[in-house]
Amino acid sequence: MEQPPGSVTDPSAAIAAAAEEAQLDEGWEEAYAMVEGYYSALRVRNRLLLSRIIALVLRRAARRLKNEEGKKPAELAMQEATTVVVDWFQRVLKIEIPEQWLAARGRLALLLVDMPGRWQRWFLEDSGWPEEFVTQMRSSYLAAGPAFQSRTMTPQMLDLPAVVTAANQGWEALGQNPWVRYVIAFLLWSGVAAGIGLLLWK
Amino acid sequence: MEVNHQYPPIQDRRFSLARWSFYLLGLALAAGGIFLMWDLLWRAGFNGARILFLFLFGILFTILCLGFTHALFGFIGRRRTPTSSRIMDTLEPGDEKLPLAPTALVFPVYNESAERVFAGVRSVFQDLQRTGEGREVEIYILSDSTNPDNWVREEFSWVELCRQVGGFDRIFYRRRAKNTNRKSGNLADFCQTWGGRYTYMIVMDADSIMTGQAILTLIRLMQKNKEAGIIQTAPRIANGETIFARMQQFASRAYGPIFQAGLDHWQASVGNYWGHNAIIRMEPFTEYCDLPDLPGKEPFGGKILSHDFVEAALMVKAGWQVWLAYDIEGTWEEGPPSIIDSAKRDRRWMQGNLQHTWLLLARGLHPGSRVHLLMGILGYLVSPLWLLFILLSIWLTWQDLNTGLTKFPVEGFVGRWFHLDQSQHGLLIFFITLVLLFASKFFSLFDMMLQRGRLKQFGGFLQVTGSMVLEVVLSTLIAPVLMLFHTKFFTWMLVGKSVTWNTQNRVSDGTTWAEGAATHWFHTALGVGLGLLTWSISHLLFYWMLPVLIGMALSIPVSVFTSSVKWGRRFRAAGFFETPEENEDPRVLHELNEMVARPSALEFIFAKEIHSGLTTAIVDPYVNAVHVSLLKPNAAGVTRAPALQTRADRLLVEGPEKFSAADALEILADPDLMLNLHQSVWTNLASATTDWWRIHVERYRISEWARERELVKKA
Repeated sequence: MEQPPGSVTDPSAAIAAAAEEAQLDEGWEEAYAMVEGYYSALRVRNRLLLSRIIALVLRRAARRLKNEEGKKPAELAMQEATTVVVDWFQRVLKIEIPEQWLAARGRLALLLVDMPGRWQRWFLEDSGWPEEFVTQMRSSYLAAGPAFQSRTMTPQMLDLPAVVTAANQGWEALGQNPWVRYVIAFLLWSGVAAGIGLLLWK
Repeated sequence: MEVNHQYPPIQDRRFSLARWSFYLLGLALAAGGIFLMWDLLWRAGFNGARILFLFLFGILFTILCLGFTHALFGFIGRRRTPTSSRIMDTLEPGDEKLPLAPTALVFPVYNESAERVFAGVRSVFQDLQRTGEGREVEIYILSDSTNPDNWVREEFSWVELCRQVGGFDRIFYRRRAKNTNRKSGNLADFCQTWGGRYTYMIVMDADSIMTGQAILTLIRLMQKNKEAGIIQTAPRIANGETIFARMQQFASRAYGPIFQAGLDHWQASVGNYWGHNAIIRMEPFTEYCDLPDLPGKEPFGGKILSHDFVEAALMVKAGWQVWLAYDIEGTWEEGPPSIIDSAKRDRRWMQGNLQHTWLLLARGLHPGSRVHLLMGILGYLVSPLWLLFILLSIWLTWQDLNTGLTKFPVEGFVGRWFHLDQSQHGLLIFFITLVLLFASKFFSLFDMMLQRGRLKQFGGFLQVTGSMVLEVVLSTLIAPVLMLFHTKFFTWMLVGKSVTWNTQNRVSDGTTWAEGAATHWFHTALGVGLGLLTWSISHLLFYWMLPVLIGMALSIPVSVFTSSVKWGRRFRAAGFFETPEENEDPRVLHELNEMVARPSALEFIFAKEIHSGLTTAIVDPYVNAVHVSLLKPNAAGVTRAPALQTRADRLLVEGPEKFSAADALEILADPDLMLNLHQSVWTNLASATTDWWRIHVERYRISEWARERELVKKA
């Protein structure tokens, strides 16, 4: 089992160890930036903690690279970055759902319990989580609303007199050919314009 | 629930008397004015054009007289306390302890700014919390948003709000994938899904604000008045910053109370529903108020756009009362910031109101409901009628000057009884019209003076009178432009053009000169043209028409000027258009404005570029988690459409720049796809061929968060 980041007391040692295992080239520079971006996106704002986590992930990626030559360090590092988190969600939440949904459920729980604000110290910690934290994590989910309690709605019938129905049918008949409506509107307003023109001409 | 009567029984006879006295006075005044005009026209000799002129004058003058009677009866009504026609007077001392009932406070939302909507929800919720009561009230944000960016922002704003106020068990968010029947369909969907849980529903608009106390009062009014189906409040307009918005909110605040009291006087329990800031009794609403389609197609038929009037009419038809609680304080909405925004809203409202023409003769409606429908229709139809009246006036003047006939062939009744010549006769009608037109301003001023401390709420006597004068000047300039807008919309309706459902703009960055010119060039040209025409016919006619002509000719600068926030603030500093809200700054509005002014956390989380919603929902681990958690899981065994998968693959390779909103919505609606995309963007970034995702991932590097922390601290 990889040592969890919370129990690494000397981050510089962790980084040095990771750097030793990895080669100091641009590939690892990119991997570092991407892993840092990912955990920053999870709002891990404590730089010390962030350094430890990055070191852990890079070390795991460096080990994998030895067996998976040809792959980019950044690619492996990001796979490890997400795996570390999902594994930890599995241990904390103790639920059996597909991995991607577990990841989503875990991230949602982190947000709802305010991990970045209240529980950052325990993020990715292997054990010893406070009971309140675990309880909150496990009970965090979203409900768009309470249980449905339906009512039936039936559109009311309109009791329109014959004259309205006839007027509507007439209007609809006009609407069969929209040009008829355009012509009516044109005649209406051109009549007004012609009147004005006539006055001006006089 | 059974209601055994056809019409509301409470003191119906007294209300009938009130209605009769109201309408008799209004119609008597109108008849007097029409008689004077008929006599004037008769002196010059009737012809077809004059008959049409009298007909148009009759309609316009009757509307004016009814406006006057509203103000008069309202002014008198506000001097009488308590009155039995006021629903608020049914609450007695001790009723503030009446038990509450389960109530849903619903905010229908349609692509409005998520920051503003949730700031409003938050201030209402917090104010309700401060009352120490209201556990029975649950809040729903009912989204019909079709813009993918708004959708994702709303979801995350909801979660953030609930986290911050501990509201997960009291504030809920639901979005419809298809917005069938628009706002009324949105509410109907809510009623069908959760309606059984609540006794009442308080309907808000996206920009509505209500104090906790107002919410509790509304619930208790319903508890006390078991036959009330709907109680509508009179929301005050607030938070305007432009000249146009501040003028509107001043007018609604200064003149509104007497008109609302006048309206309440005659309508009593046969009131109207304005669609928001109102409480509704669930059971009769779901039973009797589901809207039918109108015969035919839009724009005149089809789905009912202005559902509120019809729902009130159906509620009354079913025997339930509909009241206007015009004197409840602590209820607000926001108005359009410019003439152009106001016109856009009017186009929607006009189509909705003109659709009601079919319902005027529907069997079984209460006469009071028919009057509400008719007033709504006339409110917009009056514009083309007014334009026609103006053109006919020009025609008649030309005709008089060119027929060569003797000018005063007949003495007429007025001439004989009052010894007035035709010019004096005309001036008499003009004078009466002015009195009826401006009486409401004087009633409002007297009303403020008679109520201790009210003038001070508006800044004082000088500020109020100055604002009223300025309001008259600006309204005179703006009215002809709105008349032309409405006439254009009416013509579009005649040729069968229906409106689309647009988001109402409530904030302004000002109408630009280019936008003003593009929108108002025709109004300007028409004003100049009519000016030349009237000048060529008669200089006197030109001067008579000048107020209308100036409004049209100057429509571009007036539109730009009145939409200016800078000038709005200057007017405020100078003491013009002050309102009680501006001077007293109620806590709930103060909190809202503070929240809106504060840098929003969403601005740091969400991408700035196109498709910020889709991009952020894919990249951000939390936004992605919230989004997929609120989606309905994909059905087991159903394979994704190949076209959608291809689009998603393209999205990873190219980024979303070439995607349409519909593409984005389709991808956002698939939870498994969204999870895959999130995973792929982060893990395959190293081999990505586009910089799009790399740029958005880089945003999260530590420096960004340090900056955010700093700003949040400052806020």
